[in-house]
Amino acid sequence: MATTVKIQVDGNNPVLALQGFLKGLLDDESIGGILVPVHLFEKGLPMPTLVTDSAKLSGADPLAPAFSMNSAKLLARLTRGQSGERIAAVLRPCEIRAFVELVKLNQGSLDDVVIVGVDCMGAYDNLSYKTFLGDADSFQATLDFHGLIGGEADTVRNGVDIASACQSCEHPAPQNADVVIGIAGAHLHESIPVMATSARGEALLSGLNLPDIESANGRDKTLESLIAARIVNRDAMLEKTKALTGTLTDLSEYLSACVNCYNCRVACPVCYCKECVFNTDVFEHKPWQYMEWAKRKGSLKMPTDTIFYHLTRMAHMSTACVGCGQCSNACPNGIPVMELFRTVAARTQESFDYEPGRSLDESPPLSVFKEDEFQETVSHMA
Amino acid sequence: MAKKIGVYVCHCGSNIAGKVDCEGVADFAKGLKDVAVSRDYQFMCSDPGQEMIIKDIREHGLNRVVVASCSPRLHEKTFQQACARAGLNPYLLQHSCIREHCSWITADPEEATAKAKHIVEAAVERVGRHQELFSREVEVLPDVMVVGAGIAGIQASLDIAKSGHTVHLVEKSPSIGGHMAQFDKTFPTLDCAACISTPKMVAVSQEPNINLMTWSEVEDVSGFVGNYTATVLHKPRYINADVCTGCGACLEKCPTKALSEFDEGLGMRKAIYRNSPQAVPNTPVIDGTICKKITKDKCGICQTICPTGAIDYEMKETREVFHVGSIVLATGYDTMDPTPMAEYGFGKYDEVYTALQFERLNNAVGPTEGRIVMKNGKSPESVAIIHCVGSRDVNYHEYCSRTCCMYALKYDHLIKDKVGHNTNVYNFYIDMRCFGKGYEEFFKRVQEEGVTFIRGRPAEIVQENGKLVVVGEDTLLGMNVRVPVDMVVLCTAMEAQKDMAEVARVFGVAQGQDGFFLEEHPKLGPVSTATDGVFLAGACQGPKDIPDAVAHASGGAAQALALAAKGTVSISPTTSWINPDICVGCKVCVGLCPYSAIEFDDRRQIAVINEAMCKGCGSCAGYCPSGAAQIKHFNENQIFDEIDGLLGLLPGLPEIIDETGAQSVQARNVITPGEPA
Repeated sequence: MATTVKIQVDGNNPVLALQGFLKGLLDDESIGGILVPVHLFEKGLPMPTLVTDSAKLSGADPLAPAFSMNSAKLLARLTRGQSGERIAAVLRPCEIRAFVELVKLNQGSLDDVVIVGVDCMGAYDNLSYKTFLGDADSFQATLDFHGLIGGEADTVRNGVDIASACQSCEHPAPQNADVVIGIAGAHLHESIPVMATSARGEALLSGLNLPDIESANGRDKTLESLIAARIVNRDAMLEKTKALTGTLTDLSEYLSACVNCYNCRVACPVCYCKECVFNTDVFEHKPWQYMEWAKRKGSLKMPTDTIFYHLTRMAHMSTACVGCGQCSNACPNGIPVMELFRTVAARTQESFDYEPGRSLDESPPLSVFKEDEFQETVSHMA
Repeated sequence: MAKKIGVYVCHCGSNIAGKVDCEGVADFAKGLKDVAVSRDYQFMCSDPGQEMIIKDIREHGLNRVVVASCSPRLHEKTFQQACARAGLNPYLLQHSCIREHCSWITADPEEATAKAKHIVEAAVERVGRHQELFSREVEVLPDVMVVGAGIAGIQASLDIAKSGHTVHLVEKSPSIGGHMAQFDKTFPTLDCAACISTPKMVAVSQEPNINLMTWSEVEDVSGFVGNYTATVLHKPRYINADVCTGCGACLEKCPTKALSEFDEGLGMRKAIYRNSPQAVPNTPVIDGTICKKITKDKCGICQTICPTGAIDYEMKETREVFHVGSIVLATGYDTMDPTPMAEYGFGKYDEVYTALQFERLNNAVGPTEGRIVMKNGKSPESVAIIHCVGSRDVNYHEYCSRTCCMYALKYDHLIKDKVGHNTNVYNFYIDMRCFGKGYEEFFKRVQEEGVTFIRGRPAEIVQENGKLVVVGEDTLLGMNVRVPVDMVVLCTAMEAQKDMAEVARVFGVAQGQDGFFLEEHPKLGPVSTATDGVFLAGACQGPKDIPDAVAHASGGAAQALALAAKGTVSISPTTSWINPDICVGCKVCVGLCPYSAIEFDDRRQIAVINEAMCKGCGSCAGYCPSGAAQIKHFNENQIFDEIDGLLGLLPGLPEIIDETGAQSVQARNVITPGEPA
């Protein structure tokens, strides 16, 4: 049985309690720093921040319903190559899953990092978070968002709801973390359960001398109903998107507002290339080529290669798509990119029986050769 | 520099011109960007055709050439060399196929002509992106490694050694000779197998240019054509071969026995043993798994007997590394185990033998000293020989094993000869395949000796009243037959060695669907493989009889010698290249490369291609999402431009309407770079 301890909440402030917990972690000799979302200014988005001085943790807000960016790529930067010091990273489940994919691709390492996963109740996209916040104090807004019991509060505030990616996310509980903070079902104004889910987590927790808890009762039930509701949303979203993008003409219309800014690629945690092929000379066309293409049909939309870009990204990363929704968050023109990619990913991941982030031992489908794969497709060639 | 492209459209007699309006295609090409000259000609590959290209390159200053004719597999080299003769880098040529890909497979001449135009336009767009590439010459190490010392490996080794090159011959068994050493007589001449193979075996052991290593296996091979590094594992023999005189005193006193592999389980051997008195080398070997001294530290009698003190129970396995220019694989075959074919009762009935067991019964140094007798010591009065056991059978091997008809005829003769003319011999066959030199004549002779031939594969063998009854159908008479006999011989299929997949992996060669090693081309490259510098000899490539195996082995030896004699080999420049500025170091290509040609540079955290080992297959480039890995001569720019040309909508193109109609026309343009849907 894994160790389960509790963080005592005083003064009805679970955020303060979590800050205390993180200070405890940072005080541990084995941890040199903590990557955690921190409110750096009075207003605005909390940003992923590498904290080494526990005094600076007073701005930390791991529960803020804000998701400025997927930290998987940042953690990859912090762990690729040796830093000499172990850090802890407070991550959402989709950030952990994306990081696992990056580790498989040699972009980061789990060797010197303790992953603290937090049950995710969802987050607003960056523009909605501002509306959600209104004039309220950032920390107070976080406390209001969660209410008394984690996962029970309504998520619509000031006319905005959490991001559609979060509404249709079936992974609110962290996988492959070392330590899990069990927000779901917890009486947040009393105590928060913390579970060790690896040997490393076990060692760390036992050093903190936190009181044991009988069980994180209520968590499983809350997660269950949360997941059930999200799967209903997800399936409806997939159906709707499929209907909207079934033909090339429909797909073009779906993406018609795309201005080739490539923000979705920059925001995507699993798009791991140093230099995207769309930035290389392969797509540096000559003036006469544009003229020829225009002449073929009488007109040519500029910039070109828009559909090609999105199709290429689907081919490259749909098997690794964790559905974090940062692509939609990053789109300046409100294109529902997440919906499109999750719809394609649902099919490609099912085809390979692959779930990104599920296990480090599962190789990315395109990195391995299986002779007997897709017999129904290739058997006619035998 | 401005591009000046010459386009040459070949008629190939009527092969292309019969469907494609070649003149029209050439005219069309004149209007394409950067095309300076465009011509059509009856046979571009002829001397005048090539001269035309050379002249144009010189007179018009062409710096790119497109030839549209047959498959590049046939004549790309021809035209590359023509370009080279005119001083143009051969990789500035694009050879496009408008025969196999167009005229031969298109019914309508108008469509064929339109398609040929697309193909030529694609080539013109692509060739503009071509870059000069240069082959590299690398040295070929003079030594050759031969793996397997059956008759094929022996032949290959002797051929190579005769030329003065050193051969490292590796054999996994304790002695050489392979399956042939187990045989008694050989068809169709009835030469004694030992009489014709022992001289060759002795020649191997005495040849100064052959480094013979028995009881050894190749564990690992790295490198590339001309520069292979092979690690050979020497299993412990427990006998010091330098001291042993082969007197054989030890063999008599050893108290531990096991079934003899060489006698196919029909007889026993000792824990210290050698396959036969003529074994080469004649140094025995101790079976470390059963020897009482080695397993339990008891006995040790052989050591006390040995007059030269050659026994060494402490011997350990050792490894030796060799650097060779090429490798000849002569790993041979296995015979199929007929036990799973329960209907034939092998393993259940005492008097059902495999063909190799029957060879041992016939052999003068076999378990019966050459007498064909049953387990009870009596001679059989009747024998059934069942052909095609596991061959030509969709449940086992679809192929014909090519040797069974002939050795069955040999058995027919030997039974009549040794047991007596009154012995009844029944052959159950599907077809008699006697295609070699002197084979049909031998068939005739055996027929005249009074052997019975029944066409039909038997359904089963049952035991009734102390006799084995072969139940089947004589398909020529159209009636069921039940033939009681004393002894049954199963002509079991020749199949790939059980560890073939592992061996294939070590040497980087492929297996065909039948499990045997895959040759480069079934007709024109039967001894080479897709891996340069690794050649095949004998039955590891497919079932062969002795003459075919020997001929094949000499072929493999000649290929290895051709490399060694020239001393250098040219490495194709169309390999992969990984751009170090773009590579993100994900290592996926390292795992995907089927030729182990990609190494990971830990310091720079990027993947690096070993161009000498790379075959340019494109597995890495196909995966690499950032395009850091690209195949030279097949890079993304070249391929995208080719696709763009293929999809270029020609004015006046006949409209192709099918079920998907308008959509398909639209779809064809979508993937074009720059062409949004």
